[in-house]
Amino acid sequence: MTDGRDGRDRSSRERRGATERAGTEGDALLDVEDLHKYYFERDSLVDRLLGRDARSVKAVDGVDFRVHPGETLGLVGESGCGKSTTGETLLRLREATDGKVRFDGESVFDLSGAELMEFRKRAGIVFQDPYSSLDPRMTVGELVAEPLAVHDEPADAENRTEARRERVDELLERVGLSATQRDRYPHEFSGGQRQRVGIARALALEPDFLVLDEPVSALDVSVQAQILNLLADLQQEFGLTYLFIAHDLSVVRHLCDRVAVMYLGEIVESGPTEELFEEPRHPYTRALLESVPRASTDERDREIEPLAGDVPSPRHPPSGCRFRTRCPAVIPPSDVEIPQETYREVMDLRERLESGAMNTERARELAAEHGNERGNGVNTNGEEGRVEDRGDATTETAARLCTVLFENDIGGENRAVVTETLGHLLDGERDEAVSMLRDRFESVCERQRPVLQAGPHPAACHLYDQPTERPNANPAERTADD
Amino acid sequence: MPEADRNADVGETAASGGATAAEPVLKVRDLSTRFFTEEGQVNAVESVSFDVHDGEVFGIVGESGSGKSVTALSIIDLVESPGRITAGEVWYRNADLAADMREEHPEAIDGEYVDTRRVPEGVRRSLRGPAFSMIFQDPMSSFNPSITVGEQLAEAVEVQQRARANPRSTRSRTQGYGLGRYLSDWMLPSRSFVSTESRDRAISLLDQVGIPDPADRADEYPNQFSGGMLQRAMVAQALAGEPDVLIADEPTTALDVTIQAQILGLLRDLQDEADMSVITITHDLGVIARMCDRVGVMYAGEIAERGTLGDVFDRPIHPYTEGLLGSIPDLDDPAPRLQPIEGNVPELLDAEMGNRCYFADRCPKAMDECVAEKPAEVGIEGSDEHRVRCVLADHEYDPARALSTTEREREASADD
Repeated sequence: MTDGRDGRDRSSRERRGATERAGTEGDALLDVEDLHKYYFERDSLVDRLLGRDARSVKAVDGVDFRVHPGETLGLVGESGCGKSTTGETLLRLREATDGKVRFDGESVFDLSGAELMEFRKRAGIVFQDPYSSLDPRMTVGELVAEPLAVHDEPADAENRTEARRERVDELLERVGLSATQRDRYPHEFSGGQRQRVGIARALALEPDFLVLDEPVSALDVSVQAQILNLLADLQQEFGLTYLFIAHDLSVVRHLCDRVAVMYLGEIVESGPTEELFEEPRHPYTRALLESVPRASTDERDREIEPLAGDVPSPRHPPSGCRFRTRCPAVIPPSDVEIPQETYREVMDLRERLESGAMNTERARELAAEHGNERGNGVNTNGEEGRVEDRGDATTETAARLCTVLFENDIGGENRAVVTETLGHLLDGERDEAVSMLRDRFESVCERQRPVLQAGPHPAACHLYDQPTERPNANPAERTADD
Repeated sequence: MPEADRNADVGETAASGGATAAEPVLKVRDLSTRFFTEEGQVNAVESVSFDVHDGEVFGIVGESGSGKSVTALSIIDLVESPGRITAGEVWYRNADLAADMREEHPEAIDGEYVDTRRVPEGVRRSLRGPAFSMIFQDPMSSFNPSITVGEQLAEAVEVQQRARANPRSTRSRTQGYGLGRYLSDWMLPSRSFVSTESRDRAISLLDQVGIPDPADRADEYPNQFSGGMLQRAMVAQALAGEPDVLIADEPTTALDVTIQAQILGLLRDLQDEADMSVITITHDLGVIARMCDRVGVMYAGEIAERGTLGDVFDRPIHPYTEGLLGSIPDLDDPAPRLQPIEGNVPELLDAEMGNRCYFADRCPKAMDECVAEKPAEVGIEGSDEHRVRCVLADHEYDPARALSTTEREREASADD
């Protein structure tokens, strides 16, 4: 299976019957391998003439997954993690930068002409926003009939107009609208009804596979439940395979057979829904699950430790593990003994140092501020009055700054290193400060990019064996035919 | 409005003289807001009453179009044309203000309470900030993109300071702004409009809401902030006036779940520290469960059911409340199939809102009496606060009297 061209000339109708019967075992219907999608900024002619380098935004950066016939794979993550881009790129609605997508054995990116049309017929999409994804100037009947017209369907009917009309009525009824609403315009419908129109439109060509791109996130909860039930019914009735893209974890748990969690363009963990929700392995998945407020009376007293900070920019993703800047379980070097909270603070300080948010000026300001405060309160040795003359004074200021910067107790050798670093910083030697901290505290999480192991429930995290196989791994899951 | 409903509220409304600390800080009574649109009159808020106590979090939950946001805007009098508050009282407890107003507007005073609906607009406006302040849903569109975050916060601080120094005057600096000032500003466009003190206060507010390096961030523009950071800045702005009542309208809807957890944590901490009262408005029952002490479920402009968190979540009576709870997939225990509410939220056009239960055409337990007359709000088992506007409070569902299908269809087609 190097380029998937072998299966091209076979009758796809035949293959389609086969895949429907195949169930969840056996070959994947959709196989995404190392998919990349970069956007480039500063890439215009003017920029090139001025000799500026194009800057890449790594929206999707090496994503692998498979979807088996008849199953629902959930793709979850926060906004900007690349989940929608993944969905659109694998359908060839966006040009991929790199990678392979095989649909029913055929390489999607190599298709053209009639084969591409055939692929488009078999793989559809339902968009997130039912308010902007339907043409306001077309009636609902025209909207649902449009894919039929584009593909000249139904091909064998004598009177196509009549046949299409029947098909549209049938589809509208199936998604819970009435055929009499055929001649109405989208604005006459509510959000939930419009989403039903979007689903009817996606079903028009009897597809095998649908990308559902946040199909319920714009809807109210009561309507959301109607649509989720409808999607489940349709899947059963037509043997559909879904890629369900969502940010709402409870919806994903409800609908999906397997789940892949994305963070900043990568899949960090994937596994069977039940297992992933009960025993999340990646610290990001754990934090994500913990963050969801539950609708129950004991929610108020549930202790949660929310993730600090924001998702970093995909323009400059962190080295190594992309989650390390927010990770509550970042791994200290083996020869350094330090509690996790303190290590998190050290790493945050390093981050700020390296990004320039913490610099000499800022450090001096901070020290001065707190020096004054403490000057008239309790202080360690009552010598704050005559600081900032000699090196001694700098060390003292650095020690004070260390106390100010760290909420947690930092002790022993670690404290000595941090204090010395801050001393360098106060003296204006930023580079030395940076390298000194790196030498002592550099984590494996920043040196090496973790990968997903083989097996049914891999997590791209250094807390788990990298990249060896787990003992009971099921080789059919990811690597069988490589 | 039905007589029974009014009677039910009279006892509470008659809060007289010596109000104690146990009295609510805000009492909303029979508040109605209408929108006069081309399609007709829309009854967005239909005689809503509720209390907000000191230091509590009151939640209003409902779907879009249930009137929850308009309720919030009505409290602070920010409803814009074609909307108008057509009836109702908003009693705010403030002894000083009451003393000041007693001479001029005796009808608006009841003990320590002032009916903000009956005092002059200027006074009402001066209450925004020190008395009520609001966090809006979408931080990205609530800030001016061409002014730095620090300056916008400092502006809010200055307005509050002016309001406090002279509570009755709401003249802002722009109101003395004439042609001469305009020309001089045109030639010297860099004139600063905020003082150093208010800028410093803005920075300390940013610090208070957990924005790192607040002094640097204050000089940045809103587009340089992430959504979560900007929502923090909005919270800071709302805190500038040290309000008694903070209204948070879908404070986390635009945010990712990990950021949502941060903001909810922040709001809880601030509420604990400052002992503010908070009204949280959201469609997310999880947010309600995390934040609120008491909750009101809104449907079609009315509060359908209200009570403590336990009343509403564990002992719901109204089929709409049950429906809402049945519609959300439970993260910890996924049900095989959801129990949605059929149909859609009504459009609230006055012509279509008869004297009947507004939920009847979507209700799985609708009976004939539901469309005969609008049910009154009555107390029900549970805490003293547990009240529901539904006939099921009175008697059990009887399939024999179920709303006939033809009737129901007629109702549904009327809604289309």
